[in-house]
Amino acid sequence: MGLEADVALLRRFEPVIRYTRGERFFPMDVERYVGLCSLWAQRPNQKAACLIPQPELTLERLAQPYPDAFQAVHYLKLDPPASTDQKDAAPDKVLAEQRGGFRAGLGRLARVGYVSRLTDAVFSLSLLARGRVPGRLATEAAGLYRLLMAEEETYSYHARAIRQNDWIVLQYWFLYLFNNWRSGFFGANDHEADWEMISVYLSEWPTGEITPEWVAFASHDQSGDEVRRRWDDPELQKVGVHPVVYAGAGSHASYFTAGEYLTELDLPFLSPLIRLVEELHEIWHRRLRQYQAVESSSGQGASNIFRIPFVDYARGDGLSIGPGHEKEWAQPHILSPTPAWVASYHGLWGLYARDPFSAEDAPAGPMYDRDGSVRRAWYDPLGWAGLDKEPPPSTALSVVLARQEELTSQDTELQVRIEEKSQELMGLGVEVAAMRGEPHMNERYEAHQERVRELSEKVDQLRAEQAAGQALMQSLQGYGMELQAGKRAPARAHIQRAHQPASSQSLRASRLAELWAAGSIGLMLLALVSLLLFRQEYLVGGLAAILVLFLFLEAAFRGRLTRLVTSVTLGLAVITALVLLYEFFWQVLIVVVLVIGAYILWANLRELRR
Amino acid sequence: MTVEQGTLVPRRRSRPWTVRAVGLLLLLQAAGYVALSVYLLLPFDWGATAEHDFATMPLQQIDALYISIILIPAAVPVVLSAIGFLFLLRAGWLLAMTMQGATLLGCLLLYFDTRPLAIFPVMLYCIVMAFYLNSSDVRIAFYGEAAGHGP
Repeated sequence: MGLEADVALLRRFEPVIRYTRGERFFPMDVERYVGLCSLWAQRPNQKAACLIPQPELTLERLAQPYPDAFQAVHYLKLDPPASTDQKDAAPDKVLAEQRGGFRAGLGRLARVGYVSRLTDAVFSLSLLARGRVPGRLATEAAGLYRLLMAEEETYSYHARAIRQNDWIVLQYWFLYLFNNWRSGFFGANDHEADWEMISVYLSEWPTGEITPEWVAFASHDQSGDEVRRRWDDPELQKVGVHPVVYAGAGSHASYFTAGEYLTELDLPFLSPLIRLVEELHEIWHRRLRQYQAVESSSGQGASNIFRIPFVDYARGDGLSIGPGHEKEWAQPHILSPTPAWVASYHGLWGLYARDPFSAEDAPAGPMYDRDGSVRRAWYDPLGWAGLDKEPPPSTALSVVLARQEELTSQDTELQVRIEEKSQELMGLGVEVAAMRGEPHMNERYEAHQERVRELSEKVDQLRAEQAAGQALMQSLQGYGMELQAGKRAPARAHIQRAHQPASSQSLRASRLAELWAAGSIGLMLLALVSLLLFRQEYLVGGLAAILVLFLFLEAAFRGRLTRLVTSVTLGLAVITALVLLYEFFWQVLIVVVLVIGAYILWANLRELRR
Repeated sequence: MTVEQGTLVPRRRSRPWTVRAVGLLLLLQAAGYVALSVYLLLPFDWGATAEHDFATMPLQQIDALYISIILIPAAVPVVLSAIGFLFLLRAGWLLAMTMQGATLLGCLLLYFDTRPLAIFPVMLYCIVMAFYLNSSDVRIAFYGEAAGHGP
């Protein structure tokens, strides 16, 4: 298939992107972006050095090799011409303008508990020590983008068509000038440049017909089965044959449904703690059969208390770009064959903020991760979306038939081996029977018995293998018949934990609850300090009283009194159990031994009665 | 409520034997509280004690008084929660759980103060009840599979 046909396919299935009101950055042309940047190198223990200043940097020059030390980081830096300088604008005013029309609604902190809020406070404070994108960059970038659009308003994407395992994969890459999730929408990070991607998976039939089968959206570096939806899945919205993407405000992460998504950020140094909590959680619910609320089983439970919550607002109430919408896509920039600027430039596409968590560092290009390794989404687009195990519907039946054939020949081979071994086994059995009662044959008799045992095991193993293969063949036969009849598995069978937006019920919290969520941690700290300063003699009792009061207020605001009562009671039960164990250790031990003894006695007597 | 042929019909929840068992255990708990309190209070001559100062009371008598102050008022809500179990009311479950927590807290406070022996069986019973009340079988009967948290 030629380039023209690929372009036609890419245009035929190009997406519609719906943004949230207040979004200030939209997909742009890579050439325009690079024209605004300079190329820099950050070498270990040195000041950053400019390799190519703006406006000398072009895509061709970016693709040239720049040999450097192993730990050097190459990065682009937005370096707008002086005429677009926004320094005079008061940052607060510009930020407010950036959020134009956007209201956060129920804040992220009102949706999570105290530990998450405390972790969040520590994370926010850590921004002072970590490398971060300076606040003025967001305002400058917004002004710069506005000027660019005033010069020439275009909305562009970069795309390529790949063939892998009989699938045709259409990849759409979107470059944004800036990710202002933190400064614009109370999110986790800000960074210069943002690359986002979606994929459409097509099946080509022998008749030449091409049908869309799956769509996968990249969202916060996720991968696997959860990122894809089948074309007939009601969650996937379409305008004609154009999939609809809801882009997160500022983050530009892609979602299938409009809504507000609670996204949790893992802190690497807390992962052992998270693992421990998850294991305890498992013991508590599975082994001790204690109740597990649906909310916690869906991933919002105890194990998430050490993750930092952020809300990704993908409301879709702002600008829409796509065929037949407010704004249309410009002619796509095709990435196949891979252009030199994609393959040769391994650096970051924006400021290198030197953030140890990398959240504030700009991303690398479409082909690479920040560490310079090739992205899986680039070299294995099927595996990235968990589709490498699925043949396209156009070839699924032939794959099933081929597998059936393989299994049939394996079955025949197994049958021959079973017969051989069975014959051998029977022969040995006869010999063993013949040797019985012959003292001089003792040694050989024992060796034969050992061989009989081994062969018997082998035959058993072969028969089990054959039975399993036959069962699989039967399943494949049924599946093949279903495929022939045009039946398919349920569209959402592959999804274990779909990322769902917050329900309207959970968003319906009072203003008072929001205020409480925003101020509770600060108020608690103030109360503690006041207690320390003015009433030190009541420190322990006061601390307990403050904690209980805040916990009850919190539970009342979040409608979780039952959960609080349960947790407190179970906590007291565990403490009391430890007290009893301490007081009556030997008695408990004796009772345990007696119970075990009684159980063994009962089990043995029951066996005798049979 | 569910709609059946145009009429509103109250949604019926099944009451498994585990729920009935917990209801009976709660009644037994209330009876036990009263019996234990009576057993602890009876040996003392309260008429004579009333004339004396509280501070001069023997320690055993003070303990008996404290335990009774915790257990006798607790028996009433425990009976109410047992009735709640009979009608499969969520409030009944919540009251039962709250009472286990309150009793455990009272017992722990007494334990770290004078450590009276009579609190140990109460502690053991409350621990078993708390875990049993939170077991999947019992909670699903009240909150169902889809209930994340209560009222």
